[in-house]
Amino acid sequence: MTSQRRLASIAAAVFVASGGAFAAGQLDALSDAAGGADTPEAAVDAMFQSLGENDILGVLDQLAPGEREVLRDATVDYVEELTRLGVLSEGLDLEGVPGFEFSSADVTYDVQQANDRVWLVGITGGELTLGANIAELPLGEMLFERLDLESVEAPETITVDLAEAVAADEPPTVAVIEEDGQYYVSTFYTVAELAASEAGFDMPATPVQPAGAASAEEALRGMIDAGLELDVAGLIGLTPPDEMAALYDYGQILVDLADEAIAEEGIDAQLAQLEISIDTLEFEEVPVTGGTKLLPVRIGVSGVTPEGQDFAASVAKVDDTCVEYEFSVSELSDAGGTQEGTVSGSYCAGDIRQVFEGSDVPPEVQQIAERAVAQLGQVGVVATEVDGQWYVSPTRSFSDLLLVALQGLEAGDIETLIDFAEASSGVEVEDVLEGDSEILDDVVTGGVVIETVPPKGT
Amino acid sequence: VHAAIDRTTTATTRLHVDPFIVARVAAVSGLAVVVAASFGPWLRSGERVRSSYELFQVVDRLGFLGDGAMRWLPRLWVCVPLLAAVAVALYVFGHHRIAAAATAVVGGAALLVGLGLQAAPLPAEWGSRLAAAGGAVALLGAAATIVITHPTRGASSR
Repeated sequence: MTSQRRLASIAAAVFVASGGAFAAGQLDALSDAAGGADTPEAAVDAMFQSLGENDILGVLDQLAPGEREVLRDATVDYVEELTRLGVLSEGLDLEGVPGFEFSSADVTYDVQQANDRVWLVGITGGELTLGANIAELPLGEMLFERLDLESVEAPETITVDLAEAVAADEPPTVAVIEEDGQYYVSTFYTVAELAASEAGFDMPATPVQPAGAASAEEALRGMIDAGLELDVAGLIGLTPPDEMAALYDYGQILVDLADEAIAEEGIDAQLAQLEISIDTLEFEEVPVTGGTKLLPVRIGVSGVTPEGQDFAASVAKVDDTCVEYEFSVSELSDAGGTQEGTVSGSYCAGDIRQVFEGSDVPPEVQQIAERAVAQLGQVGVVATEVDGQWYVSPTRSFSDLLLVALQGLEAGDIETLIDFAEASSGVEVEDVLEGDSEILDDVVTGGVVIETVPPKGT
Repeated sequence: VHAAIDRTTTATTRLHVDPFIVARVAAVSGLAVVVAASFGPWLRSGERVRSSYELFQVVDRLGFLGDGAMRWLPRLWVCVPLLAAVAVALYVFGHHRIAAAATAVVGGAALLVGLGLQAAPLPAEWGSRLAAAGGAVALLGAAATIVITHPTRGASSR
């Protein structure tokens, strides 16, 4: 073997060994890495950094897994719809959010463990810089022109000394959860902790237990039954335990408060006099991102009111824009006979125009209302499967409801609605937007502004 | 005159480029570009840019690739430098056709993934475009290596 050949062989061997080592390391990282950070403080730090870089992928990566899946699925759908309607600019990428400024420096933390998987990270010091410039936001041309956004004066960027802010009030707290040894920022836990501490509650020692169902339909039926029985623990137990983990951990507070209110108001006694049963409940199952949407096809209920009136009601979907309904009541008359009253018929999206008869609502707004009503046929409840059990997802259901509403709008509708809102209220939207620097000040209420930077070009 | 003819013939021979060598150089160059570009910036998210490996890690974690066959993409992609190195080693040791097959796999993958990223609703950076270009060169080089039989070695091209 020549020395040249030997050298080439050695180089090739080094390349292969390097490639192998790299692949092994990366595969190990892929199997181990679940995002998040190694400590609760690092999770908050990483979230601040991602926010400062407008790095939406980084923000999602630092979020609790159950929450980021909901946000991920919703974000893509919303961006598509809002771009179609001209609210967001064409070609908007999900990554950059121009017009929004956030940065932090020298932030210090006080970490407290709330339970075996939740940490509360108090922000005790450092500097936070905030800024929002409407004129730079990635909004569509329609909004810029209609609202004259380019003329809206850019607000000042403000920097807040967190240590001084904390001295005046409780430190702002971010909840962090631990999953498989990694720490993630949880928006739901943060909101739950904020609400609980405001109301003077600590996180309960015992969480509510999940009680999923064998199918999506059974989960919804179970939730309706729990609602009729005012069983708050049952309602919580049928929400997804991953996405709604905060609700499970703080849920006992709601259960106790509901029990207390029911006992105080005598609601259980009133309910005991009301007989109600769901006779018919038929759904159409439609697969959606992250779960199954249950669209009601036929609902029938009957019962007896506390006054002794028998009642029955049913609604059946005819098509996407029309339903048939029937409502009947019967009661014993003074003469000893039975009096019955029945109302039945059908209602279609176009019938909404009757509501506007004689009003000064413009025809184009009436058309929007008609399309909105026509979308009701797409309104349903989203159920998700977690570890083989089905649960009703409140966040996905609400997100889907908003998406259905957006899908019912057409390009130009937003502009029509703005015109109508301004004409009805007498308030110009531009005037509202001019006050955005005040809104920014409100966001940091309690903070001590140590520096204000005027907008560029002023 | 004879001397002049001899010199011309020699010059012509010297200028003749062996297409087999050109194919291998193209394949190896393409591989080198793909590997180098895979470490470059592929996607911008706000002010943050990620290499192909960082990108695949995060999109895998966030579940953007779903539960289907695409889920394997990050696991296969991390083998690109290894496969490229193996291909180069095979060229060195004279196993040209097997090397070309490995090159075609790496080049094809880089071309598809690099071009695929351009269609995504995300701002792709130059690393992904360079990888796609390198992949195309590697693929052409690999195809040429397989098609062209070495003029002098013939059957020795394994």
